[in-house]
Amino acid sequence: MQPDQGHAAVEVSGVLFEYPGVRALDDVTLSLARGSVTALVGPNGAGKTTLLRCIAGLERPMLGSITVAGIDVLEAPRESHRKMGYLSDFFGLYETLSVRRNLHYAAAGQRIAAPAIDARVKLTAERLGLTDRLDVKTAALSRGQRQRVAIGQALVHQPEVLILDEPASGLDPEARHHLAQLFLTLQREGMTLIVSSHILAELDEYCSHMLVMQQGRIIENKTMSAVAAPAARIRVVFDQPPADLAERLARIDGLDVLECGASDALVAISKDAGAASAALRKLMDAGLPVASFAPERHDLAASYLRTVQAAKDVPA
Amino acid sequence: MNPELRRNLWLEVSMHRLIAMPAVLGMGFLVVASINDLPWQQRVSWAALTVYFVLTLYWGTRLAADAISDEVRGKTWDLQRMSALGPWYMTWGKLFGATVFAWYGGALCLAVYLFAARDLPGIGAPTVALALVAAGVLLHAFAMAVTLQSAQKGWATGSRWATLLPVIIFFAVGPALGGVAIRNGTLFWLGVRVGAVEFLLASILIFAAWAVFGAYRMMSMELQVRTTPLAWCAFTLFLSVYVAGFLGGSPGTGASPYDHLCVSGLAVSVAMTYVMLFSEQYDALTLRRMWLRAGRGQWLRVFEEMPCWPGTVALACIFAFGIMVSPAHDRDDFDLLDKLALMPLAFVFLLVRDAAILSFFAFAKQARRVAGTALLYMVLLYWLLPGLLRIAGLDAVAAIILPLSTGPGSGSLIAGAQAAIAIFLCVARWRNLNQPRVTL
Repeated sequence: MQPDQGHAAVEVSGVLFEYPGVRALDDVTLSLARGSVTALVGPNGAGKTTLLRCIAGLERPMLGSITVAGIDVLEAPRESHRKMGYLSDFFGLYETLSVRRNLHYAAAGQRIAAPAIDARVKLTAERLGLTDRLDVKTAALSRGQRQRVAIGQALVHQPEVLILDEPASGLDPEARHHLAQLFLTLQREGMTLIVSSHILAELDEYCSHMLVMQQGRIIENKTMSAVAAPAARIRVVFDQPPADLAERLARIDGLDVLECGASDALVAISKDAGAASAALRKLMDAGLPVASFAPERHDLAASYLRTVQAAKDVPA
Repeated sequence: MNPELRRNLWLEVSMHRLIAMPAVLGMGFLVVASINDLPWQQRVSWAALTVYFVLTLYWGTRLAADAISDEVRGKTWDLQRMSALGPWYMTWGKLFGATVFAWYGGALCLAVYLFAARDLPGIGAPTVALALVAAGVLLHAFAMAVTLQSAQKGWATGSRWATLLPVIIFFAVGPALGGVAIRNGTLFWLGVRVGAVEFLLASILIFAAWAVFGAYRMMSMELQVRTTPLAWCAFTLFLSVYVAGFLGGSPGTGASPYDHLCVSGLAVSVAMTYVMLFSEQYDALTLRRMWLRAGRGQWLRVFEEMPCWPGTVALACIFAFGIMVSPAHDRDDFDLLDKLALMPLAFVFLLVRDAAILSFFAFAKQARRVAGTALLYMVLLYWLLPGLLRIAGLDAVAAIILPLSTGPGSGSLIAGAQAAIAIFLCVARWRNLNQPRVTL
């Protein structure tokens, strides 16, 4: 995969989509940075699936433009498909074909050169833990294994953008964890992911951005994790902290204290190599009893609920 | 190899099936050959043709229709639509892939037929075999196009109709044309005497090519590749010329080729408009898409969003105008489809009225069973109401409902008034459509 660096991974502008009597997408505009993992969240019927299908070129909006990896999806849907993979909420597999043939067909359908297909199939199976199932018919697979084959079909051609609609539904906790690890690996390799899911805790594990949709509109587009933030947010917990903790923290040179409680503090630390250990050393040198020093975990569920509540509070 | 073709080969072809088909067919033909009444060549050739009809023409058509509906039912259609395969690859990969086993059996039957019928009198066996191969392609492509159209409409019964419709049309028209060809030996087409068998063969080949093109266009639409209604108009024009060729009979009889083309063009355009009105995806959103695009001056997009039926309505208008300015118009010797030739304007107005009726129901807030409801009203207007009024002795009122029995001038005027009322109601409903709710 060699991403074209000249464009955002996904650019959506002024997209309008209606079903009879229903406006599913109302002037949706967004831009997804390359290498980001975006959680697309919102209540049922917010328009998430419609938006994903429009980005994937499966539905044609009434107005607006959509670009994926620099290719206009509405003008050249077939070409754009070589740059993206899509996993539908309700996917199907060819039940009487083996996993190998399902993946082979998906790769050939994306115009992967014939000599390279077998290697791609093997690599995809390895990534998804399906190597020992390659010659098993998909009808004989478990729900989780079928889900992995479907994800494999979406990424066998190593797309620049991977669109996943409820990828973890029906998976057990261990399979979900493996899926999260896979998504992080793909992100590290430069792939851009957009994931719609109702399981917010699961999205917490790997999403760098969050898009909140409500009534066909994007009501929030925010950075979520240390992966995308310019600085890491570290939560420091102190054992028997001094009464003047806030003053002592403020006196430490080069430490950006975001908030301070009675026994803990949130500090921003540059993502440069060694910055975290230097900050920890400063805390220790200041004689503060550090009990815990760990990246702050975003609570995506809480953030989402705050956003939705705020949107409800705004008068129409 | 085309990935879609290869996938179908994986699904359809196995060693067991490859061996079983010739074994079963071979035993069947041996049994037929061993019966002692007619010469074995005759019996075996007829048996081979019969099995070909069942295997390739019927079962193959069913498989071609299922090539789309199975994907929709199995939820694999999105995977295919997400592939980078173009519509032409997808079309021929499915057309010959999904039906490969039916073609395998059909090829064996044709081989047996060519061997058994090589010395039989009548139409040459190679010509018959070629016509049957073209007929197979025609039916399969037709079925695939109908299923794709049904899928866009969201009709669950698409596959069943897609199988039955082409087969019924083929078996209704085929034997009649074949009988004419065998009986007469020649026929006049566009005033030229042509060999009936050669003409029939050429017709099947050309219609097969149109059917494949139709399936390709439908596949293009399904794969979100932009199309315009021009292809449908081009087929309507072709069909108009094809039908016009039969209207003249031998040279020196009836009206001129120009008149034949206009009358045939009007009849075909009207028929093709109804076909699309009742089968095409068309609702208030279709018009709204065009409206929004037009508001931004995106005229090419407006044309791409346009359904096919307005194109054939426009053609009907052109052909109607052609009839009206023809010197033969209103002449007694214009005996072709009299009413159509004498009242072209009335026919066009009624066509516009019917399109407006269907649009009226399609623009309802909760539009359901649009085609069925519109059809019911058309039955009322064309048949039930005029019939009841005539029974009641109210012929004048019946003529207002169905103005085809009045004179050309008054008939056109009444039909025009009906069209105007229907358009007014349609526009009023369109305007009254509430703005879409901003929620799902």
